[in-house]
Amino acid sequence: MIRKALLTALILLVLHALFVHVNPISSSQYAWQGNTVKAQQFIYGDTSQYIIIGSSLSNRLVMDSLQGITNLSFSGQGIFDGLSIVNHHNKLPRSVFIETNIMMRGENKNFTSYINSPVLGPLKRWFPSFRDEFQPAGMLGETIIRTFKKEESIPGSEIENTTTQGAEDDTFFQKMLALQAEDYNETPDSAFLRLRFEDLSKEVENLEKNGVRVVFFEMPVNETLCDLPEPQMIRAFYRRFFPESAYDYIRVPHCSGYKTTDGAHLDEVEALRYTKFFKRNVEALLVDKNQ
Amino acid sequence: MLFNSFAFVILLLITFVLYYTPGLSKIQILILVISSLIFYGYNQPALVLLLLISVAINIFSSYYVTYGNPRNRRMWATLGVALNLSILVFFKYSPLIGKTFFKAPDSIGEFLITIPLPIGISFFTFQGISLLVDVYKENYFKNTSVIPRSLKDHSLRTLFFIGYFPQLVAGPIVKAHDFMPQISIKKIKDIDWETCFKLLVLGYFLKMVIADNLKEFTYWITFPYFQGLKTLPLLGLLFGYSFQIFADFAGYSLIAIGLAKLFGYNFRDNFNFPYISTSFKEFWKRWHISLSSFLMEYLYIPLGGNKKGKARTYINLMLTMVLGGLWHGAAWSYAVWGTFHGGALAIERLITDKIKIRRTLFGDVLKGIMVFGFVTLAWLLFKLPEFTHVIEYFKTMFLNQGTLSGSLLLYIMIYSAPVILYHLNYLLREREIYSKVRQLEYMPYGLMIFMIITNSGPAGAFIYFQF
Repeated sequence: MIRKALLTALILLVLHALFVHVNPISSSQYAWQGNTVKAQQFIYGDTSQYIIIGSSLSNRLVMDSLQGITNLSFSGQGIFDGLSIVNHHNKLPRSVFIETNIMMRGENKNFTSYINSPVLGPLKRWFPSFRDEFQPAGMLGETIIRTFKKEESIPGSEIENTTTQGAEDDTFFQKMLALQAEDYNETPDSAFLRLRFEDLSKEVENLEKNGVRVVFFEMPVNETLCDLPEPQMIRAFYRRFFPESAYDYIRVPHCSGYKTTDGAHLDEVEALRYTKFFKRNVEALLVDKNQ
Repeated sequence: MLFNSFAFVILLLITFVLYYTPGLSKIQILILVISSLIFYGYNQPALVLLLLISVAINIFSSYYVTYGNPRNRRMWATLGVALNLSILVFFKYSPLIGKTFFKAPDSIGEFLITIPLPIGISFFTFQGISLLVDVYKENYFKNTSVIPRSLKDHSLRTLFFIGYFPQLVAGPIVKAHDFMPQISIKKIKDIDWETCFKLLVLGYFLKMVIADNLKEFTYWITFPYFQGLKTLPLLGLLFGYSFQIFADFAGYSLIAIGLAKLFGYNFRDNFNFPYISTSFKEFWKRWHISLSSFLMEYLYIPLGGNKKGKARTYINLMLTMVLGGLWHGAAWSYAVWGTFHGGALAIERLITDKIKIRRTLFGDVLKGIMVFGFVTLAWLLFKLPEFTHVIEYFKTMFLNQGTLSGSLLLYIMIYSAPVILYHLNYLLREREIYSKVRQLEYMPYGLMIFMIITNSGPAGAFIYFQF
């Protein structure tokens, strides 16, 4: 019985590999998997010249409008995961755009050790059917969704958006905003923040040593959160560790006017508006550099 | 250490090889004890000290109950049980006591709140109590047949019984009378490979494919995120959580039973298709059997069970379930959860005592749906320990009417389907067609291995670790 079961598993693995080869239906079922799929596509794909590294805030950038740029922003995580992946796999781009909003989250070791695994990594490189985007349940779900919706689903978007249906004046939005305000109002421990920035400095130094240009940018949030103690302190630390005289910044013109779904994450329309602003600034910076 | 971690696989392989090495058969117990201590202390070595203290209490108490002055037997057993319970109360319930009875910024209250919960304490404390009660009562074995005269041998055997790694951190709660008589030299030729294989494959499938994936969806039950969802997704999430908690805990139990069997030790089943139950009484005979039978044997019956009149029976039922609820976690919501189940059991008993209902298939289906629905709603108290958030969840379910999140519901259905099929398979086991299906049982096991390899979710701790 054991032998027969193992043989059945082997046959299914071969059939799955063939199916993925012929009909690769990419899917991501939830936020974590959206992150792993994004990371694996970066690792096993072509080297990108420009990379955005950030949190769920930058995850809202509309990438269709940013052709040629890879977005390694991860929902529920921070910038250190993207930096770890870029440095670990030595897939160095020409420029890296680092989001400055979230500094309290360190590297998610569960995530990076899974993505950078020395055993599973090579297996997934040579056999794409083992990659997260081709999980059988995901492929089945995606096929059903496509059949009924007649349109492609954006990985991980629907579930994230389920919490973001409200307009700025609705009760849910107000509750979420109040919770965000609690966080943003807390002054971070300066010793802790210094350690975070020292870590970031090492990562940036490593990139620069390899000829990578580092640009910082801040995602807009609700205007009532924009200048609360936490973001102010983070900005001050950035100025101290990465002075504007030595580093390029894409500054938000002003938080006012940007609408969010929960105080921190831009809604679809506003994400597109900011993406356009971001794109203009990136183009200007790149032209500037080329001159 | 997690059963689904790389470190555990390495530890298991080394232990297995040493355990069955012919020249080492005399130190088999020692090998398993060392492995178990590594397993338990891997992430927090300091915890081993607490485990050893707990075991030491049980070693001396049980030894003196057996070989001490016969007039002091009761005193030793009572002292042992009291010390076990004191450790449990101190480590598990101090934060609850601190929060409930001391107003901030009281220094005692603050101290109590900071006491950490050692993993598995509820499980190994209950096993210690089981040893003391069994040795004191001698209902199942003669003491001297399981407690050796040599204190050294007894210490090793007790440490082995309480600390054996498959059941150490999340059960099943193994009773002394089931385990102690099994202690002997084991041989590799006696391993029932097929049963071990089936238990491990099914256990890992339920945990890694079903529970670990479902948990990524049921995350949205967290406060305040659920407030942004509509009626249907909220309902779907509740059912998803019901299947997740089953897959998580039943999966863990199956792995534990399979691992124990690899080393020649048999544990009783901990789950017996609980979601087919047509009464609450039946549910508790099928869900977390090792806990419900422990509570029945060591609490409900000593309280008088159903032998002291109807009123006492209901009180005993309620008390057992409330304490059973609090065993799960140090929050009042767990007591409420226990009260709900206790109330359901009492009302059910009251109805069945008064009215005799003829059994029909339709009636059974209806009762099954009712029991499953009630159990599922009550699980919300596990996911949302703040009672106000539970109320808020139900309010949101009624107020945010709508059917958004098709893909959320779809994936919950996809991952819940195997649990439903697992129960259906059990229901159909006596049909004639089943004997033909049985010949092909290697196919679902092959499919499960395939899914473990290709479709595992992000590894997460087992839900019952927190208890």
